[in-house]
Formats: sequence, structure tokens, C-alpha cells
Amino acid sequence: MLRVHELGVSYPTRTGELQVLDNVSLEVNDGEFLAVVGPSGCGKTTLLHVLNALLPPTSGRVDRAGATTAMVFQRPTLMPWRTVLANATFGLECKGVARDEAERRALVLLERMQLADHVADFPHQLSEGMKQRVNLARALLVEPDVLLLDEPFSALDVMTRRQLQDDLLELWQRHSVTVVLVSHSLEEVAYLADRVGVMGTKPTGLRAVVDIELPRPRAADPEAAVAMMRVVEDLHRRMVG
Amino acid sequence: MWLSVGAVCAFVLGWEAAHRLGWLNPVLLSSPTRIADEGWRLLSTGALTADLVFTLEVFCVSVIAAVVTGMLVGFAIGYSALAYHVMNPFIVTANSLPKIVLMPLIVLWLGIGMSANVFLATLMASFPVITSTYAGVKTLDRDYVLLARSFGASRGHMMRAIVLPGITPYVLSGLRVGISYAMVGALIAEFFASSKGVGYRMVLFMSNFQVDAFFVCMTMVAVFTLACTSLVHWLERRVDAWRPSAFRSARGL
Repeated sequence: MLRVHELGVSYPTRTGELQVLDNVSLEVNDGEFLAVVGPSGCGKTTLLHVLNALLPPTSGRVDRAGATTAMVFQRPTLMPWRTVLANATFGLECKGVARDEAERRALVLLERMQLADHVADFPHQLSEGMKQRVNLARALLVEPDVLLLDEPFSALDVMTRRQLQDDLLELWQRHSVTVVLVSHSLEEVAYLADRVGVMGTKPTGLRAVVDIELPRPRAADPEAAVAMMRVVEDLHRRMVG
Repeated sequence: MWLSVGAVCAFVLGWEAAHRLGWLNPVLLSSPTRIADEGWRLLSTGALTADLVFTLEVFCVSVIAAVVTGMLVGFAIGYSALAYHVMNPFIVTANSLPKIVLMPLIVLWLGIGMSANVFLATLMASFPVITSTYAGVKTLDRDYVLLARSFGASRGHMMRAIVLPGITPYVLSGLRVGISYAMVGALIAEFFASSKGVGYRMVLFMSNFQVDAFFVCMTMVAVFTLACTSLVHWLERRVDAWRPSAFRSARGL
């Protein structure tokens, strides 16, 4: 679906070229949940921006074969002057969908995401978890082929994070969307992903792509949790090794 | 609110009392009842109407012109680093210059008349709008632009949906200051070089020792400017209705 071929990205800086990504090749398969994990500042967000065509590759290429993408930003980036409903429809609005139609679709999804009581609220009235759900709804509403998520759960407390991770899994299955999640949390990617791309420190190629063959739901019982921790340790070794 | 009303009433009553008790020199200072009487006379005979219309016209045209130029220039220097570096020295210099010293030059260029007055008033009112629009553009969150681009928004849509709502509160707060500057500009221009307008009449009244008439003009100008400023302030609060107060605890979550 999305094919990244020998991708390199560098920025000009005062001290010369800063190589952020180097020779990254990756394939995103139809309908899969792919995660890319790496330490902070390793170029994960840059990779997502290239996938979303917000940033041109310096070398190599991205073959998107007509696939559409939508991005869930790390911060909720909700416009404070818009209500929850108006924030959720922003993507559809950019795509030129008529307001009535956009609101009708948004209300269906917001209800499914337990936000029905908050559609008329302003972002400052919401908890961080709710804000992030609106962020997710806004991207899902444009019905992208690939949903790109940039560490969307990193600022949440443990309970809210798990809740949103489960919500995401449910949405992924229900909407049969392809997901690319970028994260610095090994536990998170082991809990969520079918495949994990492991990145090291800058300038970074992909160190390994690991299939995670754990049954879902993961961490349902102690044995499953132990199996998940084994995957975490394996990923960690590959990241630093 | 009621405390403010009370304070104003006390001031007016105190002033009137001081006047009646003969504490104030009636040649140098008017009194509330004398202002009211004279005001009624001037307005009912229509002696001031033409001048009021003239000054209000200058004021309104200047305010509109100041909003347009202020937003355009403010947006340009906030949006483009090139525009900022090219225009900023001139803006800073012009802003630090007391604009009134330019009036003889403006009259030389445009002649005595409405356009010279509008020019001065616009010049004075534009700067607060420029500075605050610039601040508004600068504080726009870069992520909103990225977000809009990620959804493939057009430039026009980005302007309408992100830039305009983002800078409106800033433009309004600049306008609130600009309004009083526009009034100052309109009146001062008439003081200097005009044969019409409230400012022109104020100079005339004063040279005839018509203190009461002078005070009538002053009161009208003050009340009118206050009304305009309050209107903008009200608009500001409406636009900003979503913004929670930092000093009041948030409701709900």
C-alpha cells in the first residue's frame, strides 16, 4: 500500500546538513497495524511527515499508490475557538464536504467514541484523553486508507492511555483502516502492533522489522502479559544492539 | 459596576456643588448644569450639527482605513520574514514619531480639508492595529497550519478557518486602542488646519471664552469615544467567549 524506498531526509542547519533519516526502506501492508519505535529525536515524526507528504524526501522515494493518509498529531491540536463537533469536522471541511453531511457523519462517530455528550463543548472543557479522542475522530472521519499516528498517547496517564489504545484497536478493526503508529514506548507497540519497525539513534536506518505474533487481546491474562514483556525485551535489545 | 456608576454620580454632584458654593472660578471652569443647558442650546438650534457630522465622518473613515491597513501590514510582517525585515525599521521609526508633527506636511500634500484629517487620524490609529495583528499572527500555532495542510486545505480555507479566527481577538484589542487614537487624530487635525469640525469649534469657543460650549464638545467627544470603545470591548468578549479565565476555576473538567 505505502512503499518507502531507501528514504533519506536531511535538513540544512547552521553547522551543515543534519541527516535525520538514512536509507529507510519499509512496506506498509494493506490493513495492518504497523508501529515504528525508537528513542526520542530519532526521526520518527519526520518519517510520518514524509508519509503524509508534508515533507519531501531528500533522497529515495515514497510510493503511495493512490493511498490517502490522515494524521493524528502528538498534541491534540484542537482549535480552542471551535466546539468539539466543529473540530471533528475540520478535516471533512478541508476536503470540501458539505457541512450538514460532515456533521451528520461526525455525530455518528463521536457517539461511538463516547463523546456524544460533549459535541457542543469547547476543547478547554475536555480532559486530555477526550481531546485526543477528538483528534483521532477528526482524522478517521476523512476515511483515509492509512491512518498515521504520531505518539498520540504519550502525554496521557496510564489508565487513559490503555483505554485509548483499546479504542484505537477497536476502530482499526471496525474501519479496516491501515495504521502506522510512531511511538517511543516499547510496551505500547508490543501491545498494539502486528509489525514493529525498530529505529536507533540519529542518523537512522531501520534496525529491524519484527513481526509480533501474539494473539489479541494481548495482556488479557498474566501469561499473555509475560509473553508481551518478552517481546518488549527483544525489541529493546534490537534497538540498542 | 454599581460602584463605578456611584463614583461618576458623586463626581458630577460634587462638581456641581463646588460650583454652586462658589469654590470654582466660573470663567475658567464650567459646571454640569451649565454644560447641559449649553449642550441643549447648541444641539436644538443645530449650531453644531454640521461640525459633528464632519468630525464623525473623518473618524469613521479613519477607523475603517486603519483596520484595513493595520491588518494588511500586520499580517504581511507576521507572515513573511522578508516583509518584516524590510518594513520594520520604518514602522518602528514612524511609530516613535509624534504623528502630529507631520500635520503641516500632510496639509502641504493634500491641502486643507477632509483628506488631510483622515490621513492623520488613520496614521495614528493604524499603529496599534499593526502591532497587535502582528502579535496575533506570530502567536498562531504552527501545528494548525500543519494540520490544515495534512488535510489538503486550500490557502483560502486556511486563512478563513485558522488565521482569521486566530488573529481576530488581537485585531480587536488593537482596534480598541486605535479608536481613541483616531479621535485624537481627527480633533488635532481640526485644531491645526480646518474650517470645520468639533475640534475647530473647540478652538473657536475657547478664543471667545465660551467655556460652557467647550465643555459640551469635550463631553460629547468623551461619551462617543467611550461608547465606541465599549462596543469593541463587547465584541472582543463575544469573540473570546470560549476562552476560560485564568483566575476563575474551570467548570466541569
